Amino acid sequence: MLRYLPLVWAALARRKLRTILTLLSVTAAFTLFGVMMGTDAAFQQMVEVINRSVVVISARFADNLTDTMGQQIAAMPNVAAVSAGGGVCGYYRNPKTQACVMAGDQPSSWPNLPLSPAEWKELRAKPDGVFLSRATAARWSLKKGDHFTIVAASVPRADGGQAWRFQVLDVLDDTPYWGNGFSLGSYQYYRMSRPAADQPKAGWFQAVVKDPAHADDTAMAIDARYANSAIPTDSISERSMRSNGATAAVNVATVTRRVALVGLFMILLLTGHGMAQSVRERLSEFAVLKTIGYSTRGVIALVFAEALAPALAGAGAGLALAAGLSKHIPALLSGIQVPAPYLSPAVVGDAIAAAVLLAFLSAIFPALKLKRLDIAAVLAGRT
Amino acid sequence: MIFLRACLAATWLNLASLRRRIGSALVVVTGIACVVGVLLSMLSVTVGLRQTWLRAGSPDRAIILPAGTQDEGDGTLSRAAVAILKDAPGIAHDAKGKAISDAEIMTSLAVPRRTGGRHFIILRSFGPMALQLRPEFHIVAGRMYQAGKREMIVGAEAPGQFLGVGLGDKVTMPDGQWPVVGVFKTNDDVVQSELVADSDTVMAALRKPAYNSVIARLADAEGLATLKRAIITNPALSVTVERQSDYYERRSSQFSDLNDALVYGVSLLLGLGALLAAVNILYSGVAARQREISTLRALGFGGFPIAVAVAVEGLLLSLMGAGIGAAIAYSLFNGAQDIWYQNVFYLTVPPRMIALGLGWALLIGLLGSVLPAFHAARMSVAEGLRAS
Repeated sequence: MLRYLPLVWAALARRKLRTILTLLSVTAAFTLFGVMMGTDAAFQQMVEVINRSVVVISARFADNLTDTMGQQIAAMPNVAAVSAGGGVCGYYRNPKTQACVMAGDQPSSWPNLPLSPAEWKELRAKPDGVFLSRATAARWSLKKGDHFTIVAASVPRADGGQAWRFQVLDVLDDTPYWGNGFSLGSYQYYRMSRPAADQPKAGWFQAVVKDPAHADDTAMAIDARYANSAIPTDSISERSMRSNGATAAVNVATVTRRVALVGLFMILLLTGHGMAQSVRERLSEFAVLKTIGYSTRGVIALVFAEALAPALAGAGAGLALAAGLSKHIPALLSGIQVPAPYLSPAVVGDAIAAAVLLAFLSAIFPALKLKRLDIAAVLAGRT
Repeated sequence: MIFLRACLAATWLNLASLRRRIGSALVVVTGIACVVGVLLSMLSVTVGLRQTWLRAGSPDRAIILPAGTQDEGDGTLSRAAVAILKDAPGIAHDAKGKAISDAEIMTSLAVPRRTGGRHFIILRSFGPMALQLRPEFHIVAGRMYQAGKREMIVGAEAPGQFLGVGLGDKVTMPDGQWPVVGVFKTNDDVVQSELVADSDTVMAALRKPAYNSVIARLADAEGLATLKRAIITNPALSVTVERQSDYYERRSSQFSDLNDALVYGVSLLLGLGALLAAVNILYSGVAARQREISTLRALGFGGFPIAVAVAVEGLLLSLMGAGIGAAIAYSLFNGAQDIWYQNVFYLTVPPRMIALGLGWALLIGLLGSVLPAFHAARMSVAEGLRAS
């Protein structure tokens, strides 16, 4: 096998420009593939990482869930814990930069959050404290200890203003659970800053169920209980909520996969064409190889190796570029929340498989041609 | 003149030999078709959605929102504030002397989509002046809702995407089931995929104490300035006023920024791949015709006409590819219905976007042929003639 390597190298090195151009275009295609499939994977991961035991309960028609309802829900079968959540949503600095700080205080109801017990304690001790993820901190250009203000017109404050002051307690690692980054503040601060009449009202409840297999049933039971009350609820498992969210706008998966496929198809045409041309130009060389004793199988292997080398190298370089780009994508799109593409093992595996398939498809027709090669005719210059 | 004829002759000879290089030519054409096809099909989302938003705004109308609010459904305007705002200076009056303005309230209702999953539809509520305020509004089936009655009407596009909101269906509200009694059209805009009911009846049902926005018809060209002045100088009000068309322009940037970044990022990468492919293939085209080109040079053709011939080939192939890509994107996507959160819209591939695609393709073709053209023009005649 090793004796073929110099031959492969010689073939690729002979037309340097062609090899470099092929390599670069394969790299461009796989950068696109990496970013597109990585974005798809990041969205999927945001659904998959969700702990199946969380049910989110909102008011069906207005934001008026009451403390009492929280206690009633906590006493329902299959419910282990309930806590209130709230959100201060508005903008930070520029009206175009939409910003939200979520408010929570019960670690038991937020199993999807990466905060340690000490960090939860810190959150409760410091009223205006907020934990930011790296992505969010980068988006808002904040660091530990910074103060910042979110202008939120939709959440009335007791002081009549719209400015919510916060302080960054720390910047934490990002979590796939909040692929867009997160910012978490204290529920007590959220509660006490609002007008007295609003204080017993929660934005939503987070309930943790004992048996995750029946999370959807519990959601239905909660809605049934309040269906004819003054405040009907709208409950859904957090997992279903996320997967609905992914299709609420134009279906992300369809778009990204289609684009990645078109890119690959384009490169397939190119490499296939290049390979066919290269073999056609060197028919007499292959005839010589066969004459001096190389087997048909060996010659065909040579063609496949020649196609595989730039495909794999391009795929590797493209994925590396995509990985490098991914880190910067959330910061580049500062006004919008999109998760950084995630080059999961499955994406890398798909890319390698695609590169191999690409090489195979572009080499198969030239290889078939070589299989039927009439040595005498070629050497005599009759083809 | 002779120079021009030499260019034409070289170009014609070059194109005549294309038939022998049909495989290479097809690769360039298909590559460019992919780039332009993807560019236009992705742009069709942004363009279609943006148009649907922009059509909802009229420069003759003003929208008044609580200060600091970005979206018309976000903030609250008290009844006291609304009473002042609805009669503010700068607002047009009808024949009976009533100000043409309304306070509106918006809420979203959870309804299933045809494709599955729980999603949301907007319930907008009109005031008593709605018909004068929104001349584009008209009923196309059933009848208008009656003020004070618990009933609603639906925009013509909504039933295509949402379940249970068609004419004759009943929609669950806090105080019971409200029948859908009519279907309306506006200006093929975002309102046309919403539910609409009477504002005071909706407020009572939702037990909401306040409105979200005031929409007013401006009296004349100076209307907005007059209205702004009146509002700013009134210390009892903390609101912002803008032209309704500006409001929709501003709001549409929330998705168009994201989509533009995605679309142009993708087309840049795909375009780069196609560019390199075009360079590669034009190069091998030149290499394969070394002898032919050298013969032309030996006959007295200058280097420049040869280069022009190569560049024209690159541009023509790109243009063909762009045409095919645009045709595919247009036939597959133009006019297809889609949905973005609560907004039903139609994918659109307008002529100016096709022009953009053609321009992008020509740029790729031009950049792709520069190096090969230069190479062809500089080739040594003696070596070329010896080439096999």
